[in-house]
Amino acid sequence: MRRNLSPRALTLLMGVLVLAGCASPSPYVTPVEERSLMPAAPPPAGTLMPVDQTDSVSVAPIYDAPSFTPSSQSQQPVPVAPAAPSETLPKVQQGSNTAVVALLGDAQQAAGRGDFAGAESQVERALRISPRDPQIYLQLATVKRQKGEYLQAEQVALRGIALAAGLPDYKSKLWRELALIRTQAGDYAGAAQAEAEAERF
Amino acid sequence: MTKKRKKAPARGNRPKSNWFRALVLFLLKLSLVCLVLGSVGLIYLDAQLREKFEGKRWAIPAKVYARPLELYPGLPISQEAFKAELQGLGYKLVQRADRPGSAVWGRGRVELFTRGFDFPEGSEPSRLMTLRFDGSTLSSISDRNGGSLALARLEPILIGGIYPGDNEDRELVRLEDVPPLLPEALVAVEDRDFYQHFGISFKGIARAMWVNVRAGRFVQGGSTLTQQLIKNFYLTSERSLARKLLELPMAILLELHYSKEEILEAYINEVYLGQDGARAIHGFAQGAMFYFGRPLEELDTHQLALMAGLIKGPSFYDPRRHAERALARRDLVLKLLQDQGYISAGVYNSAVAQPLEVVEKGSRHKGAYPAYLDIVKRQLRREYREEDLNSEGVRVFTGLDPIVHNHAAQALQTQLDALQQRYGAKADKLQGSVVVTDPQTGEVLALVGDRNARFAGFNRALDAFRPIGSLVKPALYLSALESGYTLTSSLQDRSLRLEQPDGSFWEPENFDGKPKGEVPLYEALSRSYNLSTAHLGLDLGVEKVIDTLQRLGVERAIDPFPSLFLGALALSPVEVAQIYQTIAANGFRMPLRAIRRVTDANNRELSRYPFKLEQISDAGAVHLLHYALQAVAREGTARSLYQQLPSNLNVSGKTGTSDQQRDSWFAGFTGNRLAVVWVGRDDNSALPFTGSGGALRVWTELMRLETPQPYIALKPDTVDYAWVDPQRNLLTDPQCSGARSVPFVRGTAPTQKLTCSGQLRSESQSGGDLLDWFKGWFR
Repeated sequence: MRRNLSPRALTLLMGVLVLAGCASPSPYVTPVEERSLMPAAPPPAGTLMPVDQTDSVSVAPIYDAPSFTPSSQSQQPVPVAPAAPSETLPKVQQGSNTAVVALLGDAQQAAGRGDFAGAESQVERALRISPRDPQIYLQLATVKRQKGEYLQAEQVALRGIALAAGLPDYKSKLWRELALIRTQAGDYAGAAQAEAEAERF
Repeated sequence: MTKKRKKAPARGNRPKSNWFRALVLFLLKLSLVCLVLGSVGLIYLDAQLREKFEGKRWAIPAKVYARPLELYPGLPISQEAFKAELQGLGYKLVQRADRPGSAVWGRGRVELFTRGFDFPEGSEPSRLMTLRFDGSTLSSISDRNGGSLALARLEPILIGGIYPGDNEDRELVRLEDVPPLLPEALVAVEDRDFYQHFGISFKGIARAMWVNVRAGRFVQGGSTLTQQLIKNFYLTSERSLARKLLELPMAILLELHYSKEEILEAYINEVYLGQDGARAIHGFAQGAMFYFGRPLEELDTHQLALMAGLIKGPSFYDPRRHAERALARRDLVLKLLQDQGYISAGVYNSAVAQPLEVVEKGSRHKGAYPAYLDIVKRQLRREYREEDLNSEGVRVFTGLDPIVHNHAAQALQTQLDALQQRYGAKADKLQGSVVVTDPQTGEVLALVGDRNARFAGFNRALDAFRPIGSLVKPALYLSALESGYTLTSSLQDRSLRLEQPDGSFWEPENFDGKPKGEVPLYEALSRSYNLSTAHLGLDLGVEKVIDTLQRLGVERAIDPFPSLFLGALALSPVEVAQIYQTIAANGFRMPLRAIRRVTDANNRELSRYPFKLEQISDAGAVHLLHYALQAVAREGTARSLYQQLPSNLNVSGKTGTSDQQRDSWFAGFTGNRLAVVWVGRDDNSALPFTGSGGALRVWTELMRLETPQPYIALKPDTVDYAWVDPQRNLLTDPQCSGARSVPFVRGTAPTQKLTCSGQLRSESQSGGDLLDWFKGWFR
C-alpha cells in the first residue's frame, strides 16, 4: 500500500493537507455537530472524542473535514463560510444554560414533592428553550417514568440518546434510565440490553 | 303581564244597592285574582331574574393566548422584535417605568415593569427588570437590585376568544380591581343618586324631564344604573311600553336581592361600549383593550372618563370615527367629576390636556391570527362542549409565536405581490399558505391560510388539499435507504410507460423532458429527477412507500397507484408539515401541537398536550436522507435560496410542483424552524412558475426575516462517512476530482476504490489506507 505512493501523490497530499486547513466546509458535507464544544453539558473528563469508542475505524475529523477538489476542476463555486458550526453553536447553546438549569432545578423540586405534572411542565419549558440538550431528555424521561407513562418515557430516552451523540456520559445515563424504565414496565430483557449499552460508555 | 294595578275603587253614594254590592264583590274577587296572578308573575320574574343574574354574570368566552415570551440571557431576539411583543401587550413607553405595563426604551437597554401573570405552572410576579441587548441577542436580565435573573416570563398576548352565537365578547373584572375613579365617574355621569335610590329614581326622572323640557328635545334619560343594567342584561334593544313597564319591577327586585356593589360590578362588566365588526364589546375590561390596548387597571383619568362618556352612545361618540365629539364628551365627563368633587382642579387640567390616545384597531392582536385560532378551535371542539368553551371562561395556552407569524404573513404577502408584478396577468389571483413549526418539539408556531393573513375565510393551511408533487419523494427515498440502498446507489433514469389499474398509461417525464441515464441516488432526489424516482419506486413497491408515508404521519387513505411516486397525493400544508416534522426530528414522529394547555377560569388544569414522540425510522437512514435534502439546497432545485441566506444554515428541503404547474410547494427546515409553503390558485389553474420559482421564494424570505439557527446534524453511531466518487459509486481519495464525503450506514459503503485518474485499485479493502500511511510517519 505505502509503496504505491508516488512522489507526485505525496506532494499532492501535502498540498491537500495544507489547503484543507483553510478551506471552507464543502457544500457536500452534512455538517455534524461537534458536541465536545458544547458548553451546555459539561463534558466529563476525557470525553473530547466526538466518536463512539466502539467505532474502530473512523476518526472524528474525517466526516467534518472539508472535501477538496483541485482548483482547476472545481465542481461549482463554493459559498464561503469559515467554520460555521463551531462558531454558531456555543452562541446558541450558551445562553440557554442558566435558564435551563433553573427550570430543571424547579422540576426536580416539583418531582421531589410528588408533583410530577408540575415537573413535566417545567421540563417542557426547558425543552422549548434548548430542544437538543440531552440532559433535558434525561429528566423528562425520568418524569414520564415517575408518572407511569412508560411508553413515552422510553421514546423520550431514545430521543435523548440520539441527541447525545459524542457525549458518552449522557449516553450512559440515558441508557441507565432506559433500563430503569423497562424494568418498571416489566420488560426485563430490554432492560438488560439497555444496561449492557450503558456499560459501553 | 301588567297586573300590578289592583286597586278596587270604592266609590258611589247609594250603598244599599244590590247591584252595587255585586259589583264590589266582583271587583274584590277580580282584584284577588289579579293579586294572585301578579304575585305569581312577580315570583316568576324574580326567579328568572336571579337565575339570569347568577348565570349570565359568568358567561365568559374562552380566552386564547399566544406563547408567553421566555426571557433569558442568550435568547435570540432583536430589540425591534421585542418592541413589537411589548406593543402587542400594550406596554406604554415612558420616561420612568413606575408601574406595571410600562417600559423605558434605550439603546441596547430596556427597563421594564412587567404585569405578572397567573400561569397554570405557577404565577409570574409583576416586577421591574432591566434587559440588555447585544445585537440580536438578549444578553442579560437584571432585577431591581441589579442581581441577574436566569429566567423571566412576559404575559402571553391574548390572540382571540371563542364566542357564543351572539358574538358577545366579555372579560370580567372584580369591583376591587377597577380603578376607583371608574365607578365614581359612572355615578357622576349616569346616576347621581345611585347609592340612595331603590332601583328607580324619581329625582332622576324629574331632573331628566326638566332638562328635556328645557332643551326642547330628548337629551337625557332618567334611567338609573340599575335600570340600564336590566336593559342591557335581560331585554332586547326593542323599545316598547311593555318592556319599559317590566323594567321597573325588575329594577326594584334586583335592588332587593343584590347589594349596590354587586349591581355596579355587573354593570361594569355588562355595559355595551362599542362594536368591532361582528364582535360586540361589553364591559370596561374589554373596552379598555379595545380602545386603548391596555388592561383597565392601567388606564389614566382621561381614558376612564372617555369610556364613561361612551355609554351614552358608543357609536355616536366613537373616538375612532368622531374624535371631536368623543373629546368633547370626555371633557364634559371630566368637568362633572371635578364639579362633584371626585377630582381636583389640577387633575382635571392635566386630564383635559391629554390627547384621546385611542389605539388603531389594526394594531391589536385580536383578529390577527384567524388561521391559527381555527386549528385551536377545531381541536377544542373535539374535546369540549361548545357551551363550555364560550361561557366558562376557559383559558387556552397555545404555541403561537406572534413574531414568527408576522414574518410568515409578511413573507407571503410581499413575495406573492412580487410574483404578480413579475408575471403580470398570468399570476393574478395568487393565493398561498404557510405553516411554521419548531422541528425539535413539533409545536406549531405560525399558520397563515390566506394571502391576507387577517382574512378569516377559507383556511388553506388546513383545508386546501393539493397534490404535493415531488414533496412526496423524501418518503420514497427514505423507504429506499431503509431497504439497503445507499446515497450513491446507481439509479436508472430512463423513459417509462406503465399501464395503470384504470387502463390509462402512466408516462412520467423529467422536468426538462430528458432522461439522465445513470445517476447516484442522492442526485436523483436533489435534482428531483422523475424517471429515476419512478423506477426506484417500482422497485420498492407502492405498499412500502405508503407504509413510510403513514409512519411519517399521513393519516388519510392513500391510493396505491404508481403515480404516487411523483406526488399524485393531495394533502393540506399542515399534513405536509407533519411529514417533514418527522423527518426533521431524525425519524421521531411528533404530533404537531398548537395547544399546550387548557385551564378553567380558576387556573385549574383541564387538559394538557404534552410533548409526545415515537421513533418510526432508523436514525441512520434519516441521517442519510438529510444529506440528500441538504444537497437539494446546496446544488439541487432549491439552490437559489443560498443567494439570500447564509451558507452555514444547512437547509434541508424539497421543492414540489404538481402536474401542469398548478401547485408550487416548498418544505424545508433549519435548526429551529420548519416551514411548508404552498402557492397556487383557488380555481386550480396553471401557474407560470414551479416550486422553486414560487413557494421557495416565500420560504426564503420567511427565513431571511427569521434569521434561524443552522441545522447541525448529529452523526448516529451506525453511520460512517467515506470519500467516494458518487458517479461511479466507488471509494476514492479526498483530493480526487469529484470526490465527496458521503455518509453510509455502517457496512454499506462501497468497498472498491478508485485512483484519482479513475483506475480501479487492486486492493479491495482500502478504507483507511491514506490515514494509516500518514499515521506511520509519526510512529
